[in-house]
Amino acid sequence: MNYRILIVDDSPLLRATARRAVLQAGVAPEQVREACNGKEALEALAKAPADIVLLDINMPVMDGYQFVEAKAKDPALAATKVALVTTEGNKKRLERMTELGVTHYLRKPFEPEELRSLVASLFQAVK
Amino acid sequence: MNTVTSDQFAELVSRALERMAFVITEPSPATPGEVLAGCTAHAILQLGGAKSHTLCVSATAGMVREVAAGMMGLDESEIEVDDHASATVAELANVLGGELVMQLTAGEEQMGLGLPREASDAQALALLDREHDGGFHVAVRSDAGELLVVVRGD
Repeated sequence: MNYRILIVDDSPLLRATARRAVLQAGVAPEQVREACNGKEALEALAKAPADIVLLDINMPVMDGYQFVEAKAKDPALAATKVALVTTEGNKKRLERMTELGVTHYLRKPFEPEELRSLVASLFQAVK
Repeated sequence: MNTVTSDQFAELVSRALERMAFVITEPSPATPGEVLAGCTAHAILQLGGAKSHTLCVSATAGMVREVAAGMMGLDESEIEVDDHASATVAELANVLGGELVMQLTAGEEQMGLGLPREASDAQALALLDREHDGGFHVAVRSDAGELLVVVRGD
């Protein structure tokens, strides 16, 4: 499976959890990259595109909102699907993220199977 | 804004541990001070909004091992507590802080979640001792360890 995935979370534990779910879904390990915040994620995407970004919101340096706003302004990133994997539950903020192009959402705490389902539905969306 | 009782939050804590790491817990019979004395790592975060709160998560080495292993799908023997303790309590603080915000606001009101930061034994104890600020604590135990969550109003 040749999908390119970028996992963006300041928690090494969550990155490891997400990486495991993505690998179990059949993605090649070399196609999975990680970033600790939105700024690192934008830098990673500038170097090489990704099909899917799994994005936390609550991060230092540049949070998930700022990342989504920056991504929405960059036509080069239009094809990249963004899924929020976050503790955020505020309806207005989530609606704003949807307006800016976020297509999928999984709220923490989640069961590992829910993360695998999210990844599977993202694969369908980028086909 | 809704109110949250100690019992309601205890339920959220147990459910979160089970969902994210397959850790089954029950209320700890120990006092919060006794649980805290056995803890190896602490993380504090601030919740801001119409009413602000401080939340502190403290975990014993056994709980760190169990949660980290459960989340990453590893065997507990593969977890080095020193390598995972800070990240584990930080993520628990993040998740439980998010659960508390959702319980207080039902997703309707603006309430910010700060970033978890590592705390010392003394900082965790100081928060536990701030009973005059109200709030509550939840102490749970699993087969492998114990977890203490203290919530105080600011």
